[in-house]
Amino acid sequence: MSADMSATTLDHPLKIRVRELYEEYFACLEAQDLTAWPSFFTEDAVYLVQSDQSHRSGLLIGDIYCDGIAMFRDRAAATANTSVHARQTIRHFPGALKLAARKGDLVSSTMSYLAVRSVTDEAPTFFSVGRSIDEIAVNGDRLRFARRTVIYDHDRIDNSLVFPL
Amino acid sequence: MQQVNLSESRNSDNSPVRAWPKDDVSRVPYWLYVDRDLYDRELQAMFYGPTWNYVGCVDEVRQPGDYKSSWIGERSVIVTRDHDGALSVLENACSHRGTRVVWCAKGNGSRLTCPYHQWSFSLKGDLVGVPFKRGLKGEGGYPSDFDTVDHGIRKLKHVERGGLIWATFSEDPPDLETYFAEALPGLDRVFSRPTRVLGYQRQLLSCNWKLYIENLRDPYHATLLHTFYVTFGLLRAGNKFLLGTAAGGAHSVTVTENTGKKEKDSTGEIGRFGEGLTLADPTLVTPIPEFADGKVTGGTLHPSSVMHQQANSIAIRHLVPKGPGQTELIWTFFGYEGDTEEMTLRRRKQANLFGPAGLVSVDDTEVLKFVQATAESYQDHVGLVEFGGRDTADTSHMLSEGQIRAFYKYYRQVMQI
Ligand SMILES: [Fe+2]
Repeated sequence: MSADMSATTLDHPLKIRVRELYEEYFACLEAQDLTAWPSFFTEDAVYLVQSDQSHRSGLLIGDIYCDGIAMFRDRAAATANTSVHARQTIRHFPGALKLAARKGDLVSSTMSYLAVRSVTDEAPTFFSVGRSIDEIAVNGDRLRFARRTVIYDHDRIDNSLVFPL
Repeated sequence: MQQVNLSESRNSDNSPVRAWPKDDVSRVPYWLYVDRDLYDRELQAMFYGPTWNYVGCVDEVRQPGDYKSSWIGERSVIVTRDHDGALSVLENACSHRGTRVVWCAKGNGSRLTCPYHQWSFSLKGDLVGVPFKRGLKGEGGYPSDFDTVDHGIRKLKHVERGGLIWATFSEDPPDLETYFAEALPGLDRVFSRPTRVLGYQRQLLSCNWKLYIENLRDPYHATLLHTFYVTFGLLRAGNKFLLGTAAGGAHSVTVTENTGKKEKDSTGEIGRFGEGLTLADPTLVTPIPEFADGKVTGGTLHPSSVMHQQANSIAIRHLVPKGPGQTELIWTFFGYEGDTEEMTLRRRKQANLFGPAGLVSVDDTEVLKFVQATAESYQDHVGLVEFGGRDTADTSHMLSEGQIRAFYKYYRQVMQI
């Protein structure tokens, strides 16, 4: 299969399955189900959250970095058990989905998002907006992120990024 | 209910009295984090005064023509590397009408050109181009005595040391060595080898800049708020610490040891302690041995910088005040030139503890927001800073707020309150 195969030639059911993955992923985040969060990633997945500016500069460090499933589990456990933060709800609105190419069992995908945060006693804020560039493993029992890079458009985070994006 | 004596706590115009509540520094009034006039005076006396402020590092302006924008207090500044290799720190304000000249975080070029009237400046800030300087066909333009030499962008005094660039608005600052005094060896210890920027984290804290400085001088909270540290064995209340201050309290120096081992003795008082939690990937907190002394160091460098070296994470945190109740924090993470891939990976992993999503730092960000909220609504109240006594002496344990008191001793002298 050619690496630069355009999204339009991808079989329609795959695009539906990818969209479902994002919907399930965002539902997991909205439920703040940290125990389930790592299950959306492959064993050797790499996850990075950083600003568009950092991304364009090719910088290695962002706000969150997980390399291997153990780090996902550690972040989930630490956030659930040791983090002190104000009660908050974050809604994730998926935007345009673009499937770029399929290489063997990996599909490259770009998805824009809007995250709106409501913190106790405060008006909701457009807390983060941006896109993710993802590689999705399509083999196995279900789709999983093998690589997920969340790139937010703004330069800084308002206070904290308690939960993953 | 305690009666409030209005004649003592209010001025004639009913505004709260702005006097220090006690003759020592074991009390800190909450208006200190709220008062706009005081904040403006702090900017003048501290951020724009005879102090040294972190504005960037040589790795960010490595190539000839590189420039970056940075901050001192609320003021934007530009750091440049000219084609002859010289570094300059300039006001980011056109000498014509004040327009911000550099609008982006980083760039490269041979000139800085103001978009408003196309005045162009050398990378050293000298004015080199003025459109229609002598008018057009004998009409208009600048008077005959107008000389571009008189209208460069203001250049700030700056010093590069260990790859870090420090600048000041003062024309007559103390030399850097005198200024950082006893805090300098700790800085030199970490920044003695060529460094590379690995990345940034930026966040807007909902608190006064001094609350963040206090937080870093507050070892009392470290094992109590940050159960992460205790749970995963990075810190316990019985850890040996050196809590020192420098230059009369202006800066702080904190040294401890990363024992990397969980002990149960002093964790009994911590209610949220997650018994039985272990890390699936211990490299998140475990350092590759790097410093011969095995120590973990950090410190506040008055007024706008913080240095940390924890495990293999090395960073400068840059405080950019945005009004009395908000402070931007810009974290620059470093590695050393020649780091192995394994070391770079470790530094990347350990950055997870810090910044807006930091497994440790989130706690501070969240708590400080609620300290500020109280300060704004209870301005006549005072905070208690009496843990470990009322003096400002260095200690060899972490059960003291002495570094906070030392800061306010220094602060009161500078601010004359
Ligand atoms: Fe803290």
